[in-house]
Amino acid sequence: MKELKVKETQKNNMKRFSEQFKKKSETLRLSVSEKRELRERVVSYMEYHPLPVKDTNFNNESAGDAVIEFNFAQFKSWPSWRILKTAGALVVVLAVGVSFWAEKAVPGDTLYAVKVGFNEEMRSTLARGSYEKVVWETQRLNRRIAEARQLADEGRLTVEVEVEVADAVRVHSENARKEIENLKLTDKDEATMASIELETALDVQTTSLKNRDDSGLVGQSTALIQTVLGQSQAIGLSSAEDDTLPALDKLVAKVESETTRAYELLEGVKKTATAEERRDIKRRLDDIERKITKSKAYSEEDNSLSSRQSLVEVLQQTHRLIVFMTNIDVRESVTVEEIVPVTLTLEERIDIVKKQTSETTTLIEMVDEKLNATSSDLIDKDVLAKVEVGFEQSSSSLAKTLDLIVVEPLDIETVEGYSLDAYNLIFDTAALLNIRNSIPETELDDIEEESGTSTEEVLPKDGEVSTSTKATTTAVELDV
Amino acid sequence: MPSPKKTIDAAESQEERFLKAFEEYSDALFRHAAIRISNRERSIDVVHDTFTKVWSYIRSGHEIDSYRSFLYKVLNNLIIDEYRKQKEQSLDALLEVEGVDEGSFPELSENSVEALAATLDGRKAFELLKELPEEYREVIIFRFVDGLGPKEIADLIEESENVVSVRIHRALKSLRIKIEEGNERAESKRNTKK
Repeated sequence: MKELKVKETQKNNMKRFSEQFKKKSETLRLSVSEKRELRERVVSYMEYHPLPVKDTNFNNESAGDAVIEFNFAQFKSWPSWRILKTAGALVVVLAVGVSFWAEKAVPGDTLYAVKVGFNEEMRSTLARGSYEKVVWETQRLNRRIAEARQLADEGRLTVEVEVEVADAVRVHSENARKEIENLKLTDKDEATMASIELETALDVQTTSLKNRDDSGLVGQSTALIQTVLGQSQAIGLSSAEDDTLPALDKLVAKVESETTRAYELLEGVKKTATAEERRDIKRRLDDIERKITKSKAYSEEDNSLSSRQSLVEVLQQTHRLIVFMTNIDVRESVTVEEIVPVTLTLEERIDIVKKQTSETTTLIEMVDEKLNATSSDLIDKDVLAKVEVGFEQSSSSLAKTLDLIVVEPLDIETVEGYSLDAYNLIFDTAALLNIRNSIPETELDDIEEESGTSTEEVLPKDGEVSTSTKATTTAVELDV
Repeated sequence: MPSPKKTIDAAESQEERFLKAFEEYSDALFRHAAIRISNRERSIDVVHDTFTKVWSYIRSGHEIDSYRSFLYKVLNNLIIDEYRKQKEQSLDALLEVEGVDEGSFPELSENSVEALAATLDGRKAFELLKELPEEYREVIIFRFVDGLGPKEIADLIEESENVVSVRIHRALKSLRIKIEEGNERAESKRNTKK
């Protein structure tokens, strides 16, 4: 009994010793950070030395499932720090993904706030210098309009959203203008070029929205946005008065960079644009090249003013082309001709004049025939008087055209003026005599189109020609 | 022939089991190493090497039945390597152990170890551990820090169970002497102060 008691005491004492000893040893421990670091080291060793994949037992059918299961199994065995790291990476991927997806968002979408409030603001902070800011604000304006157009096409453009977009358009154009004003204080040349950037965008967007609404084919009206655009353009016009032509070297540099960009964009749109569109754009770029050559010639003749004017025009057209190419929805509602009318070469202009004169000759012959064949009693006196005047004047203009077209150096603008005059007069005369019907319509349309283009583009400031254009329109209207 | 799923499960459980073992034993292994090496950084490195060596062993296609003893075995070998590198073992300590034939104490049993341990103050004994020769220290730590039985310790250090018991006994005895010496020193200090 006593022995038993002694043994028990001994056992208790032994237990105490173990406990004391153990307790003391437990003061030695890995700190949390040491343990975490150690685990990271061990796990990274495991990652660099993974277990060999035992795929010998896999058959083809189950291989796919097996891979998925294996990956899942790996996740399960991951330690928490690794899961955290992966989660962190996922968050980054997700953020980039969200930001990327947001780019396609339109007002009303969940991600729209990310697009406007995060993506675009981020880019705004990246824009250094006033010129870049103008470019970026213009781009934002383009984006707002593209969104509105998309919504309107889908019938989702509510009044609230349109107000919102119109407001954003106003804000962006105001911001751009503010920057232009800032630029004017430091660099007038840059300011002018920046304002070309904004104005061309406003112009292209207005035209495109107007066309879209006029076509009446799809979606809702964007009248409010057009109004805001119009207001902004008006402000632009009033402030453009004191704009001066930028210095030649700066213009040359800008034209160079912008045309390069336009060529790059043409490469870029090859996949999305139709062959016809590509040909049209290429044609405009060729026109631009010719204008640049012309400007160089001016500059060599020491005609700096003409050279600069020509380059400003080049810059405007290049910008328009760029807006056209970068906005696929703009391309859908307008043709490149509306944005950048073709500039005809001298040969083309001569060809048109020749075609026109041959048409005029035919018409004159027809009128003459009709007059000879019809007794003058049968024609109203007033009408007859008009017909005679028209016939004579047209014949005289035609004669002048034919005389001048062979003179060297050729004054193509004057020749075009006479030719168009002759054509319009005899066209109206023929209409009075109801001869028009005998002329094939397609042929006429061709002439009208070409003559319209040439007058608009070639002689925009020429009062005489613009009257002629009007005459053409009147003639067509009369006939209709 | 096992199904593919089974193979995957096996792969999964190997990684899982390994990491589980890490969670379960890394602290104890560190403690063991830290007591024996007395250098925190080196101890962590040794524990790290233990796990990577075990992982390599698994990679080469081996199965591990008991992680605990296997990890301790590898750790122990690494600690011995560490000693060889340090060559700090004193001649006295070596002689103290090697001078006696441990095999000549067949009467020693777990009971006598218990009896001896019961007379000691665990806290003081722990403090005095570092004064013990390595071979004593090793068994004491295995026995009282890691809580391994004589059989497990014997397997680990590749000695007979008997040798392990004798070593523990002697180690405790040695500790008792050291504790008593310490007490005496303290006593005489107090006396001289008086």
